[in-house]
Amino acid sequence: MSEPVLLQVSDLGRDYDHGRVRALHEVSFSAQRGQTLALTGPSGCGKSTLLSLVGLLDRPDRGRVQVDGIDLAGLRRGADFRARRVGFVFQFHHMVPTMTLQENVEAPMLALGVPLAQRRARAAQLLDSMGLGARAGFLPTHVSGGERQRAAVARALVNRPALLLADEPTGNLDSRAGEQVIELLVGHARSQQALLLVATHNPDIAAAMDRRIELLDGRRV
Amino acid sequence: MIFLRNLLRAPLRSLMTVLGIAAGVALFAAVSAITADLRQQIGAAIDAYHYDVVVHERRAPSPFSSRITLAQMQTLVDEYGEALAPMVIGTLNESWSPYALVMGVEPGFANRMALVAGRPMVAERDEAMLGELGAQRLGLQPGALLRLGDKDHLVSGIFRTGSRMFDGGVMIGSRQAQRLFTPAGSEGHFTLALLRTGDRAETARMITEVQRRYPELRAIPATEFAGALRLFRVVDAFVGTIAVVALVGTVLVVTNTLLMAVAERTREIGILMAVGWTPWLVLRMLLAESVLLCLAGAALGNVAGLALLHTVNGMETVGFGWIPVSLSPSLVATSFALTLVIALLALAWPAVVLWRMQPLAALRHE
Repeated sequence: MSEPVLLQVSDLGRDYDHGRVRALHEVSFSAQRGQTLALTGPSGCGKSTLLSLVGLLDRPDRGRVQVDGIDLAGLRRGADFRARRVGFVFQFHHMVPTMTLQENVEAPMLALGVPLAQRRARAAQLLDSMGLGARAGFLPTHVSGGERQRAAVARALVNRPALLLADEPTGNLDSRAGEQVIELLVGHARSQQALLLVATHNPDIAAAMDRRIELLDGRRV
Repeated sequence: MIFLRNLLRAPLRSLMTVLGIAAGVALFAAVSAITADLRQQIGAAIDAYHYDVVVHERRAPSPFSSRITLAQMQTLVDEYGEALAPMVIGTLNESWSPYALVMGVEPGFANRMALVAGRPMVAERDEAMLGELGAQRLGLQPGALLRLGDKDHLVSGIFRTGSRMFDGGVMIGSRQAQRLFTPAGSEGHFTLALLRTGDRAETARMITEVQRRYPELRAIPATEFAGALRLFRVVDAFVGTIAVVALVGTVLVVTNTLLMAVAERTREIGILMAVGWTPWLVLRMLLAESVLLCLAGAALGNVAGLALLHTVNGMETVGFGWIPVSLSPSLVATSFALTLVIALLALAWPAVVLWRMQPLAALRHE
């Protein structure tokens, strides 16, 4: 029996510059829990825009996104949805430079009001599992790019989200560090029955996913 | 200590903000301390003389400018006798002090003063009694001569009232004081009269009686004397204005610092919003920074206020020894409470910016 649909994207469209730039043209697809999807296409084809709309960082001009049957258009504030259901991994790690790796990983739990002791323990355990236990107290500027990105993955996983959205997560890493990051993301998606959506240029990463959705000029091809 | 790390990212800006807050707090604390102390000193001095009612000219804005004519005072003396103490109070610009406080009193009053050295003065002999602080400053002992106007006065004794203002002054006979303060050819006058009643009911009765019989005079309980002076109402308004200006200025300084922090950290705020932080949560982080800046500013401001009081007190032409050199615990607490209000008010504008911030736009901010 197949997993139930987690993500339903229907005729999604997004324009910028008062409609002069059409970033996304009526894109539709659906995906189940535990699946891994690659969003591929050249730069500017709408991959990041699609991830932003699915993760409720932005609102669509047309169409709708449903996660677990919830229409995102009906959510007044996206913060709680992002904290509970979404884990983001960006190309440039996007860590807060004045927070240690441990504090960065704790940040999404703070949004959910998780007690301090639980935050500490969960973040430490995740960092440990990614080989960053000894680096937990370091500021992001004092660790390598690969370590930063692994910490960013830990931050994305810490609230056990159903939706993992990664935008060129290996774009800034060497091949070994990139492989590690993809293994971590795919491993989590499989073990937690989460949906992983990865925007990538890299054909090897795309090939490692269950499915591929290709975009060109904002349209699905 | 994320907020501390955030503040230390721009150490100079944080330092300048703390100094700005400290300047406002120092000004507020010093001015408030001076007025509160002046009020307390006048109250303490009147209390030390054990008088219950103060009679002064109704329209006088300050005790020094009150004028009670000789005829008015004579009728008061006839009425109340020994219970009444007429006084002439004024200041002189002397070589030994540019603001010498001189009190002209009747012999009976002088004889009741608590002396720490010497004997009571004999008013008719151009003798004077010096306050303890004045004597210390001038290095004079009983037997020394003190120049007042164009006459030397023999210092007969050193008195103590407990009020720095009065203990820094000189006491002479009321006739001599009238000569000093009245231009040649003019009739002398008294400044005020102190009245001893005995109990509160009698005090109320005498106040009513004095005001009924002498409409141009005003009688008030001694305990309310400082508060009833128009001068103090003006000073209170002045202090209030300074407090408001300092408050508004400090709020603007802190607001500017927080807005710069929000502008510089827009992308970081975008990251936090992407992981689920609400504007409230981001604002809480800014609040911690704002409170830390304000508390540091309040602590430094109180120290600076104290230093300012010491400096002004040491300036002979300004301080003349009346200026307090300490801050009361309630004033320190008030200044800390005020800075906490500042910390909150300064968040208003950054809060608006945060509420209007879109996570995606913040993440893409360069």
